Amino acid sequence: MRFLLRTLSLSYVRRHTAKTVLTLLGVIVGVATFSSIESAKGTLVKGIRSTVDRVAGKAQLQITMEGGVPEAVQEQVRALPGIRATSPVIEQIVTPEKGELGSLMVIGIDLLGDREMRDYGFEGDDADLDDPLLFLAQPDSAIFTRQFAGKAGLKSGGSIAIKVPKGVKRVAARGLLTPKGFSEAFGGNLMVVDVYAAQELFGRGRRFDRLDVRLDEGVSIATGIATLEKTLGPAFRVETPGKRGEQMEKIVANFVAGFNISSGFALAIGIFLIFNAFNVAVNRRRRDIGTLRALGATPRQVQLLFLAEALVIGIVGGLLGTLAGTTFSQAFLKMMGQTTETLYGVTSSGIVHLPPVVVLESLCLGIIASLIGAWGPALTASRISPTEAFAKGTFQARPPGRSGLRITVGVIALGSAILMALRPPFGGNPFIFTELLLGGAGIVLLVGPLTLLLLLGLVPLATRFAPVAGRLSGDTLLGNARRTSGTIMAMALSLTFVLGLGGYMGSTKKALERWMNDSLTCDLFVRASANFNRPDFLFPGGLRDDLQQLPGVKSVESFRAIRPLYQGRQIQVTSIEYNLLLERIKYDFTQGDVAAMRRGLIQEGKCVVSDNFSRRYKLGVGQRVELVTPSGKVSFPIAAVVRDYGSDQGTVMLDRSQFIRYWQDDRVDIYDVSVLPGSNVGQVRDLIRTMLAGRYPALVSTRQEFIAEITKALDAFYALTRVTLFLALLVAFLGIVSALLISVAERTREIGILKALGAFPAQLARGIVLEALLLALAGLVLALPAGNLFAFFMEGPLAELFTGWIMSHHYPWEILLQLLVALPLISALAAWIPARQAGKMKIVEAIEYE
Amino acid sequence: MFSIRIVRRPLCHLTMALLLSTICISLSWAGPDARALLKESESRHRTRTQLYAGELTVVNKEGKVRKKGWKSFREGYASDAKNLIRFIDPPEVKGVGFLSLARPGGQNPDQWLYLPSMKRERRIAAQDRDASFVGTDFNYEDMEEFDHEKYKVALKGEQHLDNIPCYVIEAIPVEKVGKSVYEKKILYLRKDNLYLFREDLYRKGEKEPAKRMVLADLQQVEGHWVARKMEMKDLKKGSTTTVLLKEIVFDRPQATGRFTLQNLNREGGD
Repeated sequence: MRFLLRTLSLSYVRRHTAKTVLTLLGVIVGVATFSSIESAKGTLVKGIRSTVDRVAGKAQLQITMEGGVPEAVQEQVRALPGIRATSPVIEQIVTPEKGELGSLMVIGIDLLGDREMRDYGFEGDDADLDDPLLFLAQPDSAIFTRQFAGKAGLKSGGSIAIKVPKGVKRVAARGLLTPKGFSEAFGGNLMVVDVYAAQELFGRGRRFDRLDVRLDEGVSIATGIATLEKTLGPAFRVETPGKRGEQMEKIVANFVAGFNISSGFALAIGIFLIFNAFNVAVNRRRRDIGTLRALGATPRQVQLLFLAEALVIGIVGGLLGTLAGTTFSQAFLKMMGQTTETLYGVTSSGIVHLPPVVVLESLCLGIIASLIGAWGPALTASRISPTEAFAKGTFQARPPGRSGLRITVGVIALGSAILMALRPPFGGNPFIFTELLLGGAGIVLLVGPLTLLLLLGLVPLATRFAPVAGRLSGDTLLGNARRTSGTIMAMALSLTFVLGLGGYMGSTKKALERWMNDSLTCDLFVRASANFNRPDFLFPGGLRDDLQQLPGVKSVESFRAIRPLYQGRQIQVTSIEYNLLLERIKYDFTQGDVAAMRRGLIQEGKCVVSDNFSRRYKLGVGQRVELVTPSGKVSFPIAAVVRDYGSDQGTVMLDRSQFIRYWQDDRVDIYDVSVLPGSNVGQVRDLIRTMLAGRYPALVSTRQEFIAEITKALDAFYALTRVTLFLALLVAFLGIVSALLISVAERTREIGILKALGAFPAQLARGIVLEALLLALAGLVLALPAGNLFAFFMEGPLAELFTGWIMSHHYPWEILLQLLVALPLISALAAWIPARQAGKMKIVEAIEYE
Repeated sequence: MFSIRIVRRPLCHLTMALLLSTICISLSWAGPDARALLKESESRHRTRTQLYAGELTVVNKEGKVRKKGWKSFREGYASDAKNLIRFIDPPEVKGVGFLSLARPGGQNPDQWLYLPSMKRERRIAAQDRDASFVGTDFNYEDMEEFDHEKYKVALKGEQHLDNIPCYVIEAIPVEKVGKSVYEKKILYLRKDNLYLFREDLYRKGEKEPAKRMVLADLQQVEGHWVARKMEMKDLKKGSTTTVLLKEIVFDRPQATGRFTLQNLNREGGD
């Protein structure tokens, strides 16, 4: 085998270096996409957990509560038996004024007694802080890690400007942490402040984000949890840091899951490129195969030879792809991290170190993809008889297979996928996997026959516009049906992915835009924080009266959202003054009506739920939602179900009076301000800014600005998807280049004859460009319905499964338009190298070829 | 029944030393008992109130020096002692206050630290008793009044320190209610006036003393023995905290409400 590889395979590689490189590139791009996404994803999830673990230090349990843990709870917990120590914590992400330093995680801790929880590594003890008394006495005191201080050029005693809710604030470095344990959290971008200073800085009032608890020796975690739960009641969550990390991972699971589809697609397209390349290689080397067979090689040996080649390509491509993936992964991680922080309020940080598991997985996938791609062609090669191999042209002339059976199986697979999507027999990942498998198999099986059918219609059309080039390209494409259908299959898959994902993105965006236009109808939004999901600062409830007094203000509503756990999922509970809100918003009801909603929320203490909440938890009007509040478990009857896109896990809406009653917390996220008719919105905005200046952080946005900001945050979410779309197009481009190069090489003799007969290089180039255009066009035509099906699947059953949302389909016309412009350009570009190669061919050498 | 207690806070140490010295002579003829010695010491050095201005110097192992100034007020003694410390210097820490109120039944005292920048007090929890008191070598337990009744005491012999004959007393925390960060304390009482001369502090599970306190510059003020210099050494870290006592006044009436949270939280309240 080694001899065969060295003589036959190596000589083929030497003769067709460009083609081999292109095949290799297919594997590299596929594996790079997979490994970069996987390692970024892994680092993100690991970063979330590691940050939770490191910050937790020696804490065995953590107590949290929606809206923050009241200070008094600390004394209550300290007095309990079995509690060794408690320590309050406030966590917040801020950015230094010098943005290039990256986000900083601010940890507010009680420096008087936190050493029971965390190892600070002050190179000795507290005394190595510049001056502990000065640290406590001055509210601008902060401790930085040496790592960050080095990056920021910060020395002990120096100061740095950071952006906090109240504006830009200078903080003084009064201590430096040695990078070990706790200080390695959040990639070392850590700033430690006194917890009471953090309360003031981030508007926490007299609350902490959580209380870390260390138990006495011999007290089990279960006992500790039971004692704390019994004492504190159901409004408090008592969990181990590990469990909390898991919970955070769950929150970002939906976001992360989307990337599995992207990397799966990238690999699938890579497999088709390999399949195509090996198909052609078998075709081109049929004489070698014939010779081998004539010399006594068994079919199994021939098959093994091709599979061994695939193995080598898989290993090399896997290795290179993994390396290439590492370079992209940091950028992926940055984008993912920003999105999870903005959309989910979950923080993570870290530098992507390629985990050995991902390296191994990427390598294995590269190898498996190569072997799968090469399996069919290798099998075909093994079945070539010596006589057939030496008879020129018989191979191309062979029909591509039993198309009747293929079409039947394809139709059944695709039909089953569509039927399953309409009426899912089961849910979860098995459903998604079965859908993708059946749908993918159906499309793969049908693309070949459909390609031929399509080309038979397209070629005459092309010939009418460009008689010579059209005929030349048509003959080439139809003359080698296997190669053509392989290329178009890769192309169609890429475009299906692009159109499907684009369609899904478009539909989601449209649905959200429509919802925002319907529900965000007031004139001004007064926020204390730019972060939608994890506000840096909350306004006091009493501020509403002050705002109400301003000239030009018609009404002010106080919006508050919290994100408690409901049946293991983080839902959203919102509250506002519904008597005012219902005057200006028209809800889209799926159950109940506006009268029932008004009566239920304002008079009867009921709740209203979003349609995705209703679908997810199978609850509707008349049924009850049991929520855990600081006042105990409260069961709210559902008054109506409305369409709402506020949370992908479902929203429960309550009147503000009910929220204050049960949560005993009147703080406000956003004040919605409506101005009097005829009043100038800009002037009212200035008045609000003047009133709040120096008192509270305030971002005052007009309706348009507010919607634009939310849209921007959503765009960041989709930016990652766009990157994967780009990669899919790159793979498609490689597919066309590789197919055309092979096509030119195969037609060397034919090109030589054409040139001898007087064909100009430009005419030949036109033929090749037309060939590329036909490939792209056929791929696009086939991808149109497939992409639509994929989009329907994504925004229908898949979205419903993950979010409970049902969106109306919005066809991605803009993406189609972009493709119609981009594809001819990509095709022409892809045809450039093969056309140049064809133009440079010497007539004599070309005619002598073969 | 006597209730002599050794007071850990600077003033209290001095007072106790004064008391101890007076009983020394009377006990010299008999085989002394540790409890009796401590009771006699307390009896001799007890005062109703005490005020002084302290000059605090912390020198870390690298030789870096930090200086602070405070005013200290005490009312009561040992089990009913109330103490207030207010920092006055440098300006960056001016107004920082510390209040300690003894609790009955052998419980650990209530302690609070007030930070003017936050305009609020913070309670020092039992878990924080070993934390450094504002960066000095004293911890919050060291700032408490020492009550020998919370300890099992035993006379371990006699020893000369700097040519001064001393009784060596071992004090082991009983920990019925309040917990201690120390496993034991070795007290060195001057035989001449039963004033505390040195104290070695052993943390739990440790065989060597973690810290050592030495009282020096013993003088008579208003008829009471007072060590004007108190030095606490962290034997592991190599740092030293020295408190120099100035403007010492005994048994003057205290302002009403001085030892309250309200006063602690009052800007400039003393």
